[in-house]
Amino acid sequence: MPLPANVTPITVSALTTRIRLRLEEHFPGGWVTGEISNFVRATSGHVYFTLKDAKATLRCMMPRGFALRLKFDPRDGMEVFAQGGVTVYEPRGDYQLQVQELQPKGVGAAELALRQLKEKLLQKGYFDPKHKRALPKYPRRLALIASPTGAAIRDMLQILTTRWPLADVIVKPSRVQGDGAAQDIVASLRMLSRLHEERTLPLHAIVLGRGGGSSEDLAAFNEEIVADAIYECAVPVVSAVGHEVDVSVADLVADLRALTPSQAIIALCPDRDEMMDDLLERGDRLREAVEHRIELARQRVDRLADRSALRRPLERIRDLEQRLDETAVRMLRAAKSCVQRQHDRLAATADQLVSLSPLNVLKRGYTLTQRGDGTVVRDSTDVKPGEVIVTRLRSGELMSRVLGVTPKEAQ
Amino acid sequence: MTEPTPAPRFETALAELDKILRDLEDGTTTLEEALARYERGVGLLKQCYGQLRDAEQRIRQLSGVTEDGKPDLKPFEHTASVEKAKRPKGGNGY
Repeated sequence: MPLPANVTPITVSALTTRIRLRLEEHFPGGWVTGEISNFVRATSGHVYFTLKDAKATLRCMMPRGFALRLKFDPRDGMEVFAQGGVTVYEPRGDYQLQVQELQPKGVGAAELALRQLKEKLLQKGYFDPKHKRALPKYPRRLALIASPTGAAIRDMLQILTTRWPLADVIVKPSRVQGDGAAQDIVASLRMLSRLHEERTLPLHAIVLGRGGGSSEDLAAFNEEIVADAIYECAVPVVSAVGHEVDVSVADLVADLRALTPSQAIIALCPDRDEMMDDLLERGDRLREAVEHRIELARQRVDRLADRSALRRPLERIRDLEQRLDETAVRMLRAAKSCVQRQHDRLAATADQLVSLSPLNVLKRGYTLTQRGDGTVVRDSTDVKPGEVIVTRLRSGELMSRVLGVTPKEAQ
Repeated sequence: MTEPTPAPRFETALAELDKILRDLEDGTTTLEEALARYERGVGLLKQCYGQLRDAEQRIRQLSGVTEDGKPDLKPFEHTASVEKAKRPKGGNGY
């Protein structure tokens, strides 16, 4: 049956185009809310998904250019706000929302993105304690990545000067906030890591330092590329981002997190003054240990001498006993003069080790009194009236005869 | 410029000193050995102490890498402002 003469059919394309134009005119743009399902990121870079609520569904398409600017990773089941206009995909006759912006409901996009990045890095093992490298106990060379003019670098250098001047310090100036900061930090980390690996600039640790600031300023330390660079760095990294409330991604990946740049240095370096005190204490222990060892030897010789005395009847044994006594005296004398020599040498050359050598005590005005046989007089009852004693002074000796002895009780 | 490996002198000397202390305090050494170790220990002690006392910090700036892949280092000009800044020792006045 032919069509009536007054009817002119239009093509599917023409109708679809008219529908598309009407739809686009009536729904040019706006915000829609719903739950994401069937989320697909196509190889073209476009993103396809469906928004739905309890009663309806809406096909959505996000062109590549907008999809690339997504700050978070949309997933099925997520409640979102979508902004865009309604259009028609003519080849299929499907109407769809062409999305230009997508925001997660509840939390902000940036915060969600950060959470998602942390989760991703956690899965990759970036925060695993077994990947944390040990920090040096006595660092000989440190690199500081920081703004060359900021408070962070000034604080770190100030503390290093008093606390651990032994460290050779390399400052790697870098932007740590604002545009390009993340790329700058990554480049700095990579350069230091490579120089370390090539042994042209071996390092013991790197401090990534930044003064305190607002949360936005932390952005560079929450970038995935920074996390990668820290994780791949051949040198242990201490993050000192200067923000106590928010833990940045850099903090989590770093081998040590310090709350401030100053604290990073304190955690990394021993204190010189404490170290010097420790050394003096070791000196005391050293002297006590060797004196104890000599005392042990003396007691052993004494015991041997006593034992031989029991065997007097035999002439041969008596000879042996005599030889033993002589040996004992020689041994003691050798041991004492050896220790004395050490002390003398120390007093002469090591002025800084004031408390190490008993001879240095003499320099302060104290004296050392010995009996004729060289034993040290500690109590007044060690000597008898009439006995000759030798008093050692800072320089020279005095020989005196004891006129009288006053025991302690009598004083 | 070739950059020498920072010698771990302090750490190794300290480790050797502590080993000597342990040996001496164990009391298992002979008298002669004990005296020899004491002498060595005093030497190490002086070495460590001297390093701590005489240490002067070297601060350099890494500007980049030269064409032959070596670090491009020059003195870091920040010392003046470090001295000017009167901050309490160990503090972090942010």
